[in-house]
Amino acid sequence: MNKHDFYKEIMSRYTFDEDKILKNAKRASSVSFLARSSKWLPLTTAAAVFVAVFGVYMLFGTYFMNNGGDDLISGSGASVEDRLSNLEQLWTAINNDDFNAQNRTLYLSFEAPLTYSQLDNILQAADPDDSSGLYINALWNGGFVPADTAKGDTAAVYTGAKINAHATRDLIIALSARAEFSAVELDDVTNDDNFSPIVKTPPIQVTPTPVDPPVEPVEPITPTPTPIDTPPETEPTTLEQPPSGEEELEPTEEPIEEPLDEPVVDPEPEEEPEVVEEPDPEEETEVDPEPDPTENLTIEVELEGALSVNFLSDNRFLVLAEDGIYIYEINPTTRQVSNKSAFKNENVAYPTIIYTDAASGSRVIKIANTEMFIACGTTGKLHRIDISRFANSVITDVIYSNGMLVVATENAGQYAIHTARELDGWGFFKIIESGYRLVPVSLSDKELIYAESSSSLGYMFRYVFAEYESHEIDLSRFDVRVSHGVSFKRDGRGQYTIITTNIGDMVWCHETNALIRDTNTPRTVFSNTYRLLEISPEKIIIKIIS
Amino acid sequence: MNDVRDIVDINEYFNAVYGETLGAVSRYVISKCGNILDSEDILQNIYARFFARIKKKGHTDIESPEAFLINIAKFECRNYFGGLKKRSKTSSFADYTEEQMVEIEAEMARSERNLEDVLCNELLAKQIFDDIANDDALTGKIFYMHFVLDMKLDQIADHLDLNLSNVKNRLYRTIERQKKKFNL
Repeated sequence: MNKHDFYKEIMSRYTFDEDKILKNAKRASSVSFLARSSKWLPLTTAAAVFVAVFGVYMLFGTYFMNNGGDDLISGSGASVEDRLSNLEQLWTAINNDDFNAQNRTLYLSFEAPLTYSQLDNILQAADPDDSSGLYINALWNGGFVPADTAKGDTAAVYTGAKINAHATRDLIIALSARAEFSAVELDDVTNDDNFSPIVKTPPIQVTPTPVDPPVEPVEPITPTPTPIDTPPETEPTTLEQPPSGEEELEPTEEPIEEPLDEPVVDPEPEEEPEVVEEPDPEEETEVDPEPDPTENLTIEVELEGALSVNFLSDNRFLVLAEDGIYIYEINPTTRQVSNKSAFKNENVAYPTIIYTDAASGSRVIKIANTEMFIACGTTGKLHRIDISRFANSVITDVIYSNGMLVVATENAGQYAIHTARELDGWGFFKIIESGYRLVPVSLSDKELIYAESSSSLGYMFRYVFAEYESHEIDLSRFDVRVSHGVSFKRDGRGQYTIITTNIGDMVWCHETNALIRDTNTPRTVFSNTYRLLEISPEKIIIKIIS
Repeated sequence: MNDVRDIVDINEYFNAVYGETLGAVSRYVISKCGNILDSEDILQNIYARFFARIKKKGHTDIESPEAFLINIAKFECRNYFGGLKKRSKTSSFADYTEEQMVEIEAEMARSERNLEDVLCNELLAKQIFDDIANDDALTGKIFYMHFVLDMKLDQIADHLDLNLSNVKNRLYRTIERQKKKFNL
């Protein structure tokens, strides 16, 4: 074989798969928008916009017409359903290449209010060579305002518009692809009399909150861990070394009394777990065994160097501090705080939360690249995970759910996904390997959905777990539209895909091939009874809110 | 393509058209695409759209399937790459001399035993492909057009709107680099 034949074979083999194209082309054409089995989202702009428009409607299922008044769902003449049905027909025609270009009036609904100037810029960008003769006829804000009038009022904002253009298929696609527009309608059903913008979420209604009656100032209570004067009678908890290398810090039966300035205890086997700082006995305040709920509004925990406080559950919170990791529990009746778990940090680096499990409130914590912990929201335990096997790799991603940890790694251009379960003592198994970056997306008891990113598009795969008997399950690829609570929506420009899972929304950026995910899901509130009020250098103050 | 038009069954017609047109359509797509790694997606979209069309409206009115598909390809490529940035047309690597190029071309024609072993090593073969495809968008296209589509370098230069020395440099530079990197 010579090099010419060698490169012919290499390029033929890997550039594209002819059989796969043939097979998938037939399969893809059977749905109303183009979807391919090896990819999880449609590629053409038309199809992507269809999903962005209709995918949203299908996913959320509730549409509103924003009249700017109290009647959120209304419209004289054409109903929402009529107009959306018309939109669907429009997109069917566009996808089937069955749309006839002609001079039309188009009605635009805005995602968020725009000024005349902003709208003008957007339209210019959608039709840069002005081939459609597009011009703004009027803007809508409860009624139509002629364009000349709107143009003169630079501060006024509008929620819809009427434009005139030679409406070609390309123009409809270009306008619909704009994130600023929630709908682009033709004038066959929608008209001046029945128009009001179609929005995907209801307008926010603000109701004034009642003013709380004044409350007499009270002394904040400083609860002490119980029992404060009794030395621990139980044996110090030891850390056992299971065969898989798991270490688990057992919650102490009683809080340990030694103050923080005692010698540091390294949580190795046969050594005591680290201490929670105890308040100076001289500063103790007597705890009223039956506190008056109207007086006890805050709880203080004496702890130096606290960096962050996160609630794992309604009465359990995690503290990352300069010198360690602590889990505390608040007694719902007495409001007394006890330490559940602790780890003393020898590292120079501070601990950080790298993942939040919205279902359980559990957190995955990392200290540099040497230590990893799971702070369990349901048990209050702090599990120390042995990640020494990844010493030569880079941990690129982590997700956790219900006793299973998934870690994605990269080592010299080779990517892998590993799983570890609490049932197995947190021993890791490598389940997937690839030459492309692997990103775990969603995890449940039964399956892991992950992305394998290549070139400019992300592939989505699913890995199905057996009944906890084996990790060796068939790997199957499929085009994920909505599956097991995971859904995808691509923005009109094809630059991002919004993935909605049980752990919240994530955004896949196709340009950078990266998953953008919040490690602390801001929408998830784990405690309805307490809120963090303040972290000071010496203490934490928790506010009781109910 | 009279015999293709005589085929009544849609699946049979589609398969026949696919076989006859893939070369030309892929050539178009490769020349227009930003990266050859995107070509599979685009080709699949093109043929999916074609299949949907003939399912709905039949194919008796299609005079030239290849021309029809190239029209679809134009639309797909335009929409697909509408958002991509324009690439710079300048390149900064040194030219090879004529003598060096002749030597490289002669070496390409010589039989070498280890190349078959390399092809049998899937991981290595894929790495070699990835090295070409990810190095530079143009290089991947040049490799495909030259080695798979058997286009001459001056034809490739015309097709990609480059000058001939640019095409040659990209090709030979990559070959030489891979010789060292992968011990070819």
